[in-house]
Amino acid sequence: MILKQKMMNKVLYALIPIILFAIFLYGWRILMVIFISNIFAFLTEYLFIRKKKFGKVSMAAFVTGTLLALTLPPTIPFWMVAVGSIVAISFGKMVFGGFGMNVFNPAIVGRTFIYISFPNAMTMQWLQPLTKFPAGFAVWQNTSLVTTATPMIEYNNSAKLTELTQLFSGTISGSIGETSAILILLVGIYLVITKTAKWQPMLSLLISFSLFTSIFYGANPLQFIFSGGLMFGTIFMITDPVSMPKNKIAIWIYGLLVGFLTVFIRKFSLFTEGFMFALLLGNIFMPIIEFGLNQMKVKKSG
Amino acid sequence: MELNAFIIFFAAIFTSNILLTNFLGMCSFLSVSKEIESSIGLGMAVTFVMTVTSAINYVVYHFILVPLDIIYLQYIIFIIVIAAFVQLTEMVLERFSPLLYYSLGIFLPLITVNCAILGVSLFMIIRDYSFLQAVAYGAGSGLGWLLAILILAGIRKKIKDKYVPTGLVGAGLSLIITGIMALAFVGFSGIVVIQ
Repeated sequence: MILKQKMMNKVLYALIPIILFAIFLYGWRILMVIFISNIFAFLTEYLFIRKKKFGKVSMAAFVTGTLLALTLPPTIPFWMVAVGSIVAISFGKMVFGGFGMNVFNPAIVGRTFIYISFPNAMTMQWLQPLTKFPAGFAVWQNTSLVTTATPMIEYNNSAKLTELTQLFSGTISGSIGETSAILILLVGIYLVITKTAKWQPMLSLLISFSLFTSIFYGANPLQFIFSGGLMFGTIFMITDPVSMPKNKIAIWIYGLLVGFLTVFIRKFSLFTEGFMFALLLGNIFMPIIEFGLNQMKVKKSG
Repeated sequence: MELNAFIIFFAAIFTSNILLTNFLGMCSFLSVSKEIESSIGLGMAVTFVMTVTSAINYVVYHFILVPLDIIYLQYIIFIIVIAAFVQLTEMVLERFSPLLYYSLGIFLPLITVNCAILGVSLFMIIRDYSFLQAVAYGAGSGLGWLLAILILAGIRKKIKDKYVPTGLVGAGLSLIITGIMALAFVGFSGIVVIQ
């Protein structure tokens, strides 16, 4: 019933430390959020492929489900998680023909959908993370609703940057899986070493993000890189092998474009967090750019 | 009235894209986007017609309809102007660029009933634009339409239709993709506001 995919398994293993840390910060409810997201991802994919010969649910459905859950705020109502998961799998992946055929990153499609449909639940309520052992391991839900906003929102309101040490250790408020920069970095190194994820899009994204941050904000880009969902997106989202362009030059352009758009949207638009939109825009612009590149190559060689 | 024409031009392409925020001009958008070459051709034709007709309609509205006090005729007059102009473009194209003329085929006359073009003329009246603003808005909307159809054509080229669920092949899937494109373009909102 489930199609085994080694690569996707590795991504899931890599996510375990991040999930454990999230439970430590916010309590066991996080696990329920991830569980619901995965169950609905599985059911949706199963409904689409049940009549096909050899139809099996791909492991990638669980990766999408888990990644989607990790990008949501810890206070998210369960039914919204389910909506996001269903939209992600059905409209993000299955309508294109299932695994390997999707043009967009499914988890990002799901997240954007609920972000625009339920902006309050997605941006207004954050939790102050627990830090004293056993912290979240002893409670169902961390109840300390915060007044302090996430680093990104705080910067937008008062131009005050969060300390680097805090950003690294992850004792800040934010989405479930995005807070600890150091943990995400370590996982990223693991993924690159095991050749599960490509390093080219990560590097080009970070280069262009740092460059445009220094241009637009005139500040040291380090703290911006580790604030918000950028690190998480760099390691897990932009490296999605299916929605990424195939051509080598196109991959570099992809990273540069997404980096630029992230800074542009963070700086100029209504939203504090730009990575999600930037990646979706990157996904929709890349096919035509890649086509143009191929045309140029044909002209050169012919 | 105080909006800079360049800002309107930029906004019409990205933040208030006529296709992705108002969903105007869908019919030719869905049917021509199969091929990248013809979508570029149609997109450029739409851009050209939009820019010129918004200028002509501006003049017609402010110097004929308003002085004669027959504003209620604006819908009919605008459509006549657009239709006449498209006919003219068709003749010129046939004479000077037969290749583009034949590749566009039926879609060139279809521009006449492309609701985006009438939409642009009506929006510029409602929003009380000056002449320069109206032309910038027309050109920007046309380019925005060209951008949208190019993106969709690129994505449709990448998709292999044979794996798509049978009921969604063609227009169904294109509409879903357009929806996701609109979702992504929401990210630009708030950069400049013209509405």
